[in-house]
Amino acid sequence: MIRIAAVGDVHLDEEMRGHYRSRLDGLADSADVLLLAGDLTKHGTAEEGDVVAAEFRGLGVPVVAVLGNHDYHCDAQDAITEGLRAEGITVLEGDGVTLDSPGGRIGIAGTKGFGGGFAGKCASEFGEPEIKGFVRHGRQVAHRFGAALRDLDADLRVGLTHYAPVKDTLAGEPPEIYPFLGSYLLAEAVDGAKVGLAVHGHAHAGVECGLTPGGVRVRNVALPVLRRPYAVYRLEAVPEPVAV
Amino acid sequence: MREGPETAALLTTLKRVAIILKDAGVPFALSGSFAAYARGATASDHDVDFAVLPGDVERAVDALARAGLEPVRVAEDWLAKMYDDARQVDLIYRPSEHPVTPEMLGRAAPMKVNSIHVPVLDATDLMVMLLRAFTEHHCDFSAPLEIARALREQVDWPAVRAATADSPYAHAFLVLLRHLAVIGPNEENPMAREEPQYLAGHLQQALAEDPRTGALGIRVRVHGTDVHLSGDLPSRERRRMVLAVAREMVPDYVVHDDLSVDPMEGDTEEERLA
Repeated sequence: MIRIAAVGDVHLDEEMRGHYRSRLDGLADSADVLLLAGDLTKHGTAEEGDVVAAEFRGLGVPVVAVLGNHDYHCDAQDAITEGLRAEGITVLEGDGVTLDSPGGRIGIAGTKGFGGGFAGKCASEFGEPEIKGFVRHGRQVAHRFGAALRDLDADLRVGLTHYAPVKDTLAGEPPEIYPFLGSYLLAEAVDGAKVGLAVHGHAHAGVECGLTPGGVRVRNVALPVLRRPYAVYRLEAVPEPVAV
Repeated sequence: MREGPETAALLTTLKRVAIILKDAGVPFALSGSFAAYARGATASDHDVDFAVLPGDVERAVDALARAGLEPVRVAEDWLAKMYDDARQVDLIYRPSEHPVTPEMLGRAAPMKVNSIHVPVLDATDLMVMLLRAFTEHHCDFSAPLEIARALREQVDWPAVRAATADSPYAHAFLVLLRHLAVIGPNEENPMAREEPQYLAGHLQQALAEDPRTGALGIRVRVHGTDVHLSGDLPSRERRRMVLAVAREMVPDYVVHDDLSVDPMEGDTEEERLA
């Protein structure tokens, strides 16, 4: 058995220093890894990144993160990434990491992901350069995410994104903004790589549980959705996809 | 004009002090309720206020004392007090921590009061001074309200709003003026004049883009002059900031707090994914 803890959208800044860490006491006893699903800062400054690094360092379990759109807002994503890595936190963007745990090797591939929308109701790489750029970025990150997932040599593969791979977990968000909340290309990447669990954040008004078209469990771990410091999912290594 | 004997006596004192200060070459402007009176408000029967520069206070007091007024020791570090018989004269130099400036005295217009020409504080400066004076313990709106009604055409209200932006008491007073239709909508702020559906959209985007809030996904609904904000925020401080920024952006609306703070009180019980 492998136990995955996860949370996203903690949106920390200086004034919240210490607040989150105080809720992480029992983490090492209940999970083998903690995943952070992006939007770790309020508006993406390196100083806010330092608060995130201090909150999540040295917890006794490996911490693996992706950044979210908020973490890019001040163009300080590289500084935030460096700050987190300096405290031993793994930051993924289009790549993966494999961790040993008592239940087996956990392979995690991660990306911020991007918007674009869901099958049949999404933008195409057509028309103005701005639209083409938007769609192209979503395709590129999904493509790299898929490759990183397939490259994982592990007993359990986990996909970690900030943007949502499916619509299921967006229920509660206005349908008009779905194209800004996620992309079906992320789900396609997950379904192409025998993944056991896909974790994302971003959709504060959504719901926790969903499923990809290929039957992979999706969990929206945005803090406002969880209403608890983190979720813990217990999985068998190499699960069979459930029937849909 | 209803002028009781008290007012008539105060006007005599006003005239006397103005002449002494003029003769002494001390720059000054009529301030307080008699400045409002000079500009069209009802006469006061309380005291006579003059604005002087902080560096001129001593000189002004000396000149007035030489002419027979009696200085009074005060603990306050923003005014000097003198008596002309029983009538009180205040020389104000640092009201509400904002020193009187040469620019402010330069804006004062000479107006005829009690048959002499006296520089009278600009209506906007006067209103700013009145509004900044509100505190927890002194926030009686009735006298300033009367003055605001009398002087409303002479006052640059967006300038007053900007100069008093850090005072919640001044903000409340301006909301009151707006709801009483003493002043119009805030013309300086484009958001205040938008159709409700555009206002909601633009406020939502502004709350996302303002670095103090960075709050995406706050729901905004506008009904008449009411703005309702809802959605989750990660801390009480962030919620307070979102409300403060929204109130600053739409000062003429009543902003209602339907926000909630993400509770992390739930159990971290694991979910078994068989």
